Amino acid sequence: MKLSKTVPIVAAFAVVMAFARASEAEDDDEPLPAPTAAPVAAPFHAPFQASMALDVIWRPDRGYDVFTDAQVSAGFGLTFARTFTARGSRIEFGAEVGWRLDGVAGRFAQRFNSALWTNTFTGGVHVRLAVAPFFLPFVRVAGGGAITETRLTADDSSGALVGNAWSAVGIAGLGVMLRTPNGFAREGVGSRVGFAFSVEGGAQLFSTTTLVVTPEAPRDDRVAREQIPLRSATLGDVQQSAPYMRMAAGFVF
Amino acid sequence: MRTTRTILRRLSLFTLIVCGAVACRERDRRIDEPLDVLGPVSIAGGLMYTERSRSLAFFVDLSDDRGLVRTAALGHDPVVLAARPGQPEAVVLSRGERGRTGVRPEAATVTAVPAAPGVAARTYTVGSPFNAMALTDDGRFALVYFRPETAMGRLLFNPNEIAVVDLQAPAGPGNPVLRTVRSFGGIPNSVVFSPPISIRGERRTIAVVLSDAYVTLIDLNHLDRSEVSVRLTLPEDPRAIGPQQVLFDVDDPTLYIRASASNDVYVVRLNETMPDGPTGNDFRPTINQLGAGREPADMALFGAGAARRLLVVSRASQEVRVVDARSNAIAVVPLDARADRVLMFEGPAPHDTVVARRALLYSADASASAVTFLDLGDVEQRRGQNVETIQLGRAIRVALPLPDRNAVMFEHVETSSAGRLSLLDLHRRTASPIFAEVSLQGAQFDGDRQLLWVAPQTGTRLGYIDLRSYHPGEVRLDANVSSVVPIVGDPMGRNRVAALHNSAGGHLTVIDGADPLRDTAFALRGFVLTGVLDREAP
Repeated sequence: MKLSKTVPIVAAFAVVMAFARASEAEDDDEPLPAPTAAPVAAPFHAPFQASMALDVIWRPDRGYDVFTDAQVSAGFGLTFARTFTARGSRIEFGAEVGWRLDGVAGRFAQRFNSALWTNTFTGGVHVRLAVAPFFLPFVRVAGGGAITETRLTADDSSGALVGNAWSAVGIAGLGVMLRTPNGFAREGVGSRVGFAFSVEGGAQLFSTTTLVVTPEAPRDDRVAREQIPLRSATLGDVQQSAPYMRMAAGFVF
Repeated sequence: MRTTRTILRRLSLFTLIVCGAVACRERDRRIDEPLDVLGPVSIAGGLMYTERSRSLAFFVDLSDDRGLVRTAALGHDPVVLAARPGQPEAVVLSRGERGRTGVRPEAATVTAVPAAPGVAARTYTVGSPFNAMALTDDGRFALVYFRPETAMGRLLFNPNEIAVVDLQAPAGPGNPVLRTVRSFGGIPNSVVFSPPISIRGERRTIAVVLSDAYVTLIDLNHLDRSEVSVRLTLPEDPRAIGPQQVLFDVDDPTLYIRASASNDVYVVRLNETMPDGPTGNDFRPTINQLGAGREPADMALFGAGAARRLLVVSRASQEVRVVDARSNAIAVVPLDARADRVLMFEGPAPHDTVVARRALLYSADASASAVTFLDLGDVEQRRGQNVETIQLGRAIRVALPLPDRNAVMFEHVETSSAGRLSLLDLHRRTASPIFAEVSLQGAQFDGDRQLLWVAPQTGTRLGYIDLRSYHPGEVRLDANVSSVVPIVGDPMGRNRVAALHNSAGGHLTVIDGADPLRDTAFALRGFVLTGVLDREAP
């Protein structure tokens, strides 16, 4: 079995075992107290969030074999969120907009270099539950569109084949957020800004992406104008629907 | 905290399940095999290719300007691609798969791939991993066999096994028919088919399997009957007589066979007889040998009925022999110039306005700079008086007969001020120079033979000669041209050709013969990658 497959399995297994052991130990050693009406501290109020995310996306579709010999791809994203809940509420409702770029590059048929890049633009809502002031499990759903760019370059001098395709996107995720209080400084901007870190797992649903490529236009405009009209070639469908893991870090304010 | 632990535990479990599910997929190893493209062949206004690593046939539909590509699944390892004569189909022989880790063995198949959309391909399992295929002129039968190769890719195989596929019938218990032809120590070199021959009042096609020192006749209309083998030499003769050319006389069912390492022409007459048992044939061959000078190089039949004659041109003895096909009487006509090719044509001559059957004798191996006209009327009596030699002044390297235009185009060895090409008018017997910077090698006619297209070995220009006026021209394309292919069977009757370019994913430019300009051309690139993403588990 290849390392690329072994690592996620082992990592996930370790995570599960660690949590299982921790919870079992706590379950055994510390019987749960009777429910009480102990007051919970009010969550920090930070209605805005800006974060960067690193995504790991599993690729179950065989169409990806053309673009990578790994079965995961990595992505980078930016998200801006706004919470609309009143100060002091333990349940936070919010809206967000996001962008993500993920891609793979590889080689096939011993003669082609291939690359597939997807820009995903989404808008969505989230619900967070302030279990503790710093600890917020959340669910998130988002929808939008994605443009997938394809590039195939043969080893001969025939030039690249390129193409773009649009897809509709839906995302559903479940995760936890760790959030610091506002104000890591006593005064100034720092007094109104906190940090947030989240881990999220979920699934992204893409409509079927049909990749059609045409030869890349010559850079010389005159040559491009005189070029004999070229027809496109349909590479086929790629299914970008996949499970993902996301780690995000950012500011709340 | 119990809620948090529960959430985390479930999240982790979900992650583990997802990881396990998606990490089990194996990468398809075929994706890393190099593209191995066969073809194209032109059918139904488009071009058919096959690609070995994906075991797919690609039909590039050029009947309109969209250039749509359709694919069809083939058996593993396609090795022969041919257009089915008279039908809008291609026929593909696949050798199958001998089996390896993760890949099951698969028998060899013949697949008929229709060009029409929505029509399913027909697959015939032929079993053994044959590597050669021949199709009858009417497109009904495909005969697959083993052609000698250094590596056959199997531990054991029977080189005299053949399979006959009736492409008009569905696959079934009696189709294809597999059999082992009788061997006198040799193996099949090639297969030719007769035109429809009438034997005992029944028209039929005879397959002739050519092996060293013998031929095997198979009645394709009666595959339940045994084959007939005819030795060309005595059993004690050690010569490797290799049949090279077969002519058929359908009026008096006879085969004329020319062979390498032999100065004879072998005449195999099929005499009608009563079938001997249920698997017996209703013809019995008799063989006769005719002396044909030294190193007979080409032959042709002319005349009808009692006037049927065989013309044999011999390279080394620089002569042509006229053989009476009925009496086997031979008349020898010496030539002034070396010749190894015969081109039969009808027309007048400068000294004779009567349209009659005549022959042009020439050599295209750079050994002769003259050609010979032979008038076939009374040739056995007049002999040398019917011969006229025309000096071209330069050795001939390539000859391209243009029988529709009553001309032959010659390419000469050296490029001199007299021109690299010359055009020989068969009626006037005059030769005109044509200046060219391109070889005739690989020249192709378009569909109605009005344009002759030539592709240079390098460069982006495609040359053509309008055969109605002999006006030359050229078209500049966007990539180097490797060859040119006429597009046959265009549904709108257009005369178009495809210029092929070297490109890993396939690249061609379609040019309209009626208006051969860049403005009317269009190109396709990457069509061999069609459907490359649509893969199933290996």
